[in-house]
Amino acid sequence: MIFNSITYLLFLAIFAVIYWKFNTGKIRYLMVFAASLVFYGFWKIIFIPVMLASVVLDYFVALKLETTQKVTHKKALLSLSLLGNLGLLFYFKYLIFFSNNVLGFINIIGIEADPILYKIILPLGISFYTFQTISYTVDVFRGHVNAERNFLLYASYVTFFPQLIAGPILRAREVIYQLSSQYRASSNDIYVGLKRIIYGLFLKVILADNIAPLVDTGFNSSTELLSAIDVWTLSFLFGFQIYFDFSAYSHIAIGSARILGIKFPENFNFPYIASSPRDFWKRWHISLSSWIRDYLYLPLTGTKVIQPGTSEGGLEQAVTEERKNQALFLTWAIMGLWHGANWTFVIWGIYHAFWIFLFRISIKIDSIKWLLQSSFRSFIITLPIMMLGWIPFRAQSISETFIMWSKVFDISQYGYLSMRENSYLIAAIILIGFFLTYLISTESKRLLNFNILITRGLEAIILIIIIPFILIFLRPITQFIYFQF
Amino acid sequence: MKNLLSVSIVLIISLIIFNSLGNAVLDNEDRAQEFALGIDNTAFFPNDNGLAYHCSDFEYFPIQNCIDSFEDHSSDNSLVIYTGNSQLHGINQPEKGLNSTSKILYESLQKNKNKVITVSIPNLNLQEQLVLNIYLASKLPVTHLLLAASFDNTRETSIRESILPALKDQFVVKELDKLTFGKKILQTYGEKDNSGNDLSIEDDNLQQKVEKILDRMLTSIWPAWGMRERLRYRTIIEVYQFRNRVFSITPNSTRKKIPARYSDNMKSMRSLLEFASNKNLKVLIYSPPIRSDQKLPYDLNEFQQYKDDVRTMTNELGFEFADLQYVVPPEYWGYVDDTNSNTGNVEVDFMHFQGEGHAFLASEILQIFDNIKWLDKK
Repeated sequence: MIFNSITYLLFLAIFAVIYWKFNTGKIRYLMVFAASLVFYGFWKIIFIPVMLASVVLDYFVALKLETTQKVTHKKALLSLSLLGNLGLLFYFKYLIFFSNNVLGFINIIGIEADPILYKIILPLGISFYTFQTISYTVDVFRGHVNAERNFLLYASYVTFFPQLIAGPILRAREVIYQLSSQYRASSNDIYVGLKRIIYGLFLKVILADNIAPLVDTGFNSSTELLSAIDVWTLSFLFGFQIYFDFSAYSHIAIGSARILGIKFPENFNFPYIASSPRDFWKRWHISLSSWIRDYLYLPLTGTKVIQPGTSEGGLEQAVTEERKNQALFLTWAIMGLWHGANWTFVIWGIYHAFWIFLFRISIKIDSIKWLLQSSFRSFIITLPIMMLGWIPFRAQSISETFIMWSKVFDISQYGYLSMRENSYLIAAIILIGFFLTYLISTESKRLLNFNILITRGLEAIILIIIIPFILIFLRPITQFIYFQF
Repeated sequence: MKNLLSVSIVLIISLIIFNSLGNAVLDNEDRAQEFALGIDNTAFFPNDNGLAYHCSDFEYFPIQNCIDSFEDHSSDNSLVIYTGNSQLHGINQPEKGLNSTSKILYESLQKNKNKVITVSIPNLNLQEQLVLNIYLASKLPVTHLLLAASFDNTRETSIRESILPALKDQFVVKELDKLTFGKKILQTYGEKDNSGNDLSIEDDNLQQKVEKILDRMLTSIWPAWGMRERLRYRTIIEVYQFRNRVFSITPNSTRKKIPARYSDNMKSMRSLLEFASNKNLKVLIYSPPIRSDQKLPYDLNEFQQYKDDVRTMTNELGFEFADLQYVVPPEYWGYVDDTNSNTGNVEVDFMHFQGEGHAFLASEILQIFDNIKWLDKK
């Protein structure tokens, strides 16, 4: 089920009423689990068993891990979980990509082989729920959480519909206790939840969906004819499209859970005001960044994770620079591949690793340090770097990516324009709008002196303006971009 | 409870506003296409006693109706496919008489048992023209292609949603795959391979079915809900008018060539000519009339270069080109609603003319047919 649809809003309304009414004991998880299966089945029922396979595997592995004393046995159990989950992910997401690359290599060395033509449909949300179950098993292995004995409760945590398809990627310790508690949603929870859903729908159906045609048209035109200004404009437009699109999903997910009385951690925090690439990743898709840090980057650096991390924070121990840098590039290459089975995503990952690395060493060089010490100067440098980083994410091929990037550094490419005038205008309006929103949201509390009445009044006016437009533009014509990952 | 009360009040006020907007549009029964043209300009899609010969895309005046009308057309006689933008169906000041180039051509050609099917869509670009012509050639015994290729439309790009069904046709896919630019169109707008990608909402899944049922139910009980499509158009038009006011954009404002789009459109034209050549179809491309009593809204060098490019390309591939820029005299053009406001003011229209203007254009086209013996059998 996709969020920007009447079907989902009706589903949520009906489920919330039933949930509030019968919110006691085990029925609670049973309702959540059943609703989540219905939610998923609206896409394709045949893929429910794939999801349940991952759920069942990690449920039993975790139980066994807790009773097993020998480290070698524990490691074997963990490997079984990783093999099962990553095996599913590999088959559905990477098998054809991997096979075609092998065949391509075989062709290069002179042996003729046809590309694989059969299709494998990627089960919706597989990248998210496999990461969630992996984090659970690893946490049990590390002793950070206890294995959950109640299967329905555990299954409800993994399949909980607001986060099932595109996150946030939740840790067991963040959700299971909430699902098992007898807490009932307060009127404030419902108010906040509805507000988040409305903001999310606004970001999706008014902003992201209306920027999309400009981005599609730009990236579909002949790349070699685009000017440097066009490349900049497209990278900013796509940067905002994907931000609005994905943060919209997170808003609706957080809001839907909140209506049921369950609090999710935030997944975005104004990423485009980041003062370094590292800061950007602390503000963008926070639950994935922290997952990658805790379950991939830190182990690769050789850090022993001794404290439980959450999707909002964690730990990092000092390791050798060389090891850290190797881990950084490897992690980002994998992070790129997680986003899609294409080399363009690997380029995207390495691009980010490169800039994180460069900022990391620059801050140690006296002659450059001053430039990055002011957060405003760092922000001015970081924003265009992050925006240009979206090009490989959206471009059709590696060659297109490099053609577009090369234009930015060619002064002769700044003398003409190749897109409709509206594209530049809309990019400028959105950029200004974004920073104004940031300023208003950060300064308003101080300016209004925490006056609840005025704040609520202003919120009400904003909602009254945007709800009619949401109703006008609400159409499930486009999925959220992150559904494909 | 205060929270719930305030949410309820907000929702009720929002619904009242939405309802008022819907009712306001309901009172004004303009069709979506007429929004684009304005009140002083009518969309005219004539038919021959119910037999459709002037269609649009797959949604408005569906192209299927035209295909149904001429499925049994004898291949002994010529069947011309005439494609272009809204100039072909737009008539300014319709109170002075409804007539269109397509109607006159149809009535004239059928005297010799030849037929013409017109397909016109606002701002039709050459990529869309390529797809539509191949699609029609796959369904009907087409012999001739008459293309109105406006310089304005080289500023447009992409295949709009209402034309995309053509790319599901296997003949179209096969033919596009043989053409250099056709491949790019397929790659960009064709059916996507779902492997490694779960964007399968296009499938007729449960969500889509339920969504359609809910939409129908809501429309039947809540008139404002059924007005949402028109509200979307109205909102977009308001935004455009606001932009025009802010930047003082009028019909006379110069529309510059957009290099990337121009290039893609010219490549599409070449691909269409290659397709016609492969299928032994005759092609006549004309540069459409534009009013001559006003400063042209183009960079004159760019406009001339466009006509030269089209002429060169058509000659190179052995087809015909006609420059019909001055065919419709100034007095037969008209005016449209002010693009910057809803005040009822009017301004000149560079694209559409009155019924009599259509007669001039049709007469000139028929004259060219005769001069070059275009419809004669080989």
